Amino acid sequence: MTSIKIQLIMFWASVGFCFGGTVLFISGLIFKREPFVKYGTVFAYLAFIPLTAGLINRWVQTGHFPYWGVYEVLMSYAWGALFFYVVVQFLKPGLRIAGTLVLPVVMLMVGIAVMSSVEMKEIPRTFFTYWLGIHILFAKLSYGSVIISAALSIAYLFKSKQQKRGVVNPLLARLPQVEKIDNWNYQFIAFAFVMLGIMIASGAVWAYKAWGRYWGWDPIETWALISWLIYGLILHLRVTMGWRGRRASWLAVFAFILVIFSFFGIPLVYPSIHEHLKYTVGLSRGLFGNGGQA
Amino acid sequence: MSTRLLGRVWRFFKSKELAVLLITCITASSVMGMLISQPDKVFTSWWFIGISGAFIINLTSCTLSQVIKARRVWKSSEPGHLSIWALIVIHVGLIIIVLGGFISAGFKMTGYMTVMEGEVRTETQEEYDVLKKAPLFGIIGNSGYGIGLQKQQRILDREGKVDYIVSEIILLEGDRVILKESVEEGKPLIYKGLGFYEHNAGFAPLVTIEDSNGNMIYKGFIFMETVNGQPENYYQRRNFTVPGRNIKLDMRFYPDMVIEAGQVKTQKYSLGNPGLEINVTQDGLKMEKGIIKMGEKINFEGNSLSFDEVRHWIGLEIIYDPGAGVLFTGCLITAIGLCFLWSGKKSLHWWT
Repeated sequence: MTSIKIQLIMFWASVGFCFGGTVLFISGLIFKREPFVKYGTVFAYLAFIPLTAGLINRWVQTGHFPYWGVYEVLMSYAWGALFFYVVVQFLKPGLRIAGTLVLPVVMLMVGIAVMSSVEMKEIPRTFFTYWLGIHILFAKLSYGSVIISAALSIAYLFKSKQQKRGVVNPLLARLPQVEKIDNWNYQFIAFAFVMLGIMIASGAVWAYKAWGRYWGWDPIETWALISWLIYGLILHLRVTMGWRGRRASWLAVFAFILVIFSFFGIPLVYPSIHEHLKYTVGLSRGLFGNGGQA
Repeated sequence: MSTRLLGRVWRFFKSKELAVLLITCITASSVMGMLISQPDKVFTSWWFIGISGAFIINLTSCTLSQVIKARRVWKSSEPGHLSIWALIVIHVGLIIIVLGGFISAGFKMTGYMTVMEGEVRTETQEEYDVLKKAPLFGIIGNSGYGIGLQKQQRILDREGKVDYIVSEIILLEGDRVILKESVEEGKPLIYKGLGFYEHNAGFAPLVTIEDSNGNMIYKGFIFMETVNGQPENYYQRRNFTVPGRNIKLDMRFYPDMVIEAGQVKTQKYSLGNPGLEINVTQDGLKMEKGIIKMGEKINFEGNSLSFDEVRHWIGLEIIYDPGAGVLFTGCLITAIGLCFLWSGKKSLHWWT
């Protein structure tokens, strides 16, 4: 069996488990059944195993960490998000419900990835640098924390609204108090802000070493900066103007949409991302000066 | 200025509400910059620079205010002072980052110069093909030393395409070689503060045009542009006008030419059997079309065009950026601040 076949089997298995997990999480919320959520988490673990195996297989096949091309990029981001979720819910079981958002997002990413080209492409030499490794690592971490923060925000918005009505879904009721959710949200936003900052800084160092410029107002760079500024703004609004609770949650959801757009939407909108500008003059010189006239 | 007024100015600039407003303005401007077709118009505009300037004043004032607050906490031995100082360090780092950006904006010099194998160009203002001078250009640049390309090698990948290009660059003072180093993408040559980065590279065939009496009309190396094509890249030069004549040449260069089933293509991307596909136009009329190997010639209207030699060339981007070091120092300081922040028990809560 070829490496590609193994990967596709692994990734489709992961999609299947993510789908099962998503159904369980949503069913848990609709039918107010706690065991469904527990099984949903088990499905998240089950999805993580083939996803990791497939990713390792790709790594071995290409000889580099999978970060090149739509197939590899989506797959590695999906892995990062799922890994982040698995770790977070292990450390804080109260956050298990975040799987309701994480699993469908991961399922979509893996699903899109398996349907894109699996062709192995040569990576330009400038991409073989440890700065790029740092850049990618922190991008994955920021992405994971952004999803969790968005999930917490949605949970906060639902729970606080239901509390006002006086009827709270038992599953949401099992979550910690809304103040606690809000505080966790704040911590994940702060974490995302720092991770995005390191991602941008390491990307700048890499660009400077490769091309002599650390910033070029390139669409991807600028949208990453905009995402970072929005998270900075959320933090400052919280500490200066007391924007907590619903307002902070709405902002976090908005920031999540922005980050998704920055990561995956920009390449669709702008065709020439991260392309080095070309000079078009000074391309001919004669042997005898005077523009080559004999 | 009265003390009262000074106090009001100080309170205005150190206010966190102003910080929120300025971050909002910078974010909104950046979004706007990305939505219009020429983002540079926003990012180099006076008002964007003005907002950034106000932001740096605000950031500095807030940080100074934090220092005052931190000293009070320190004296009163309240717990959590490490976190306070960590936040101060982070903000100092951010100030340095913004300052670095300003220094780059004002003092960065960029130039572009093509150098062909076997030739030497000098690092002088006149020799640059493109130059964006900066205030320190007279001190750092315009030094007059020679820049030469001794040798260029194309390293091919598993698919036979160019993986990367290694160019041996020499710097000369008079005839004396003062530095010899390999330059490749991501591996620049740094000399006296100037960085020489590989920007592009290609081939330059030597083309000679003679009239029917053997008089030379033109002789020169014509630089081929590398075009990112599908399924593979190719080298071409379109609309090259022979100086002083109404002759135009459209050329496509093949480093290792083969003709398979009537299709001309290159077998590999390093020099093997170089060939040139030429279209000659005179006074707007197509005169001749042909494919020639190195050493061959084609005739048109009693003239002859020959292709006798081919050399490599490199396009160097020459950069001096005093702000980069400052900016990266700021990044480092911010990172140190973050490490301290997470080691503090009170973390981010002291401020709220």
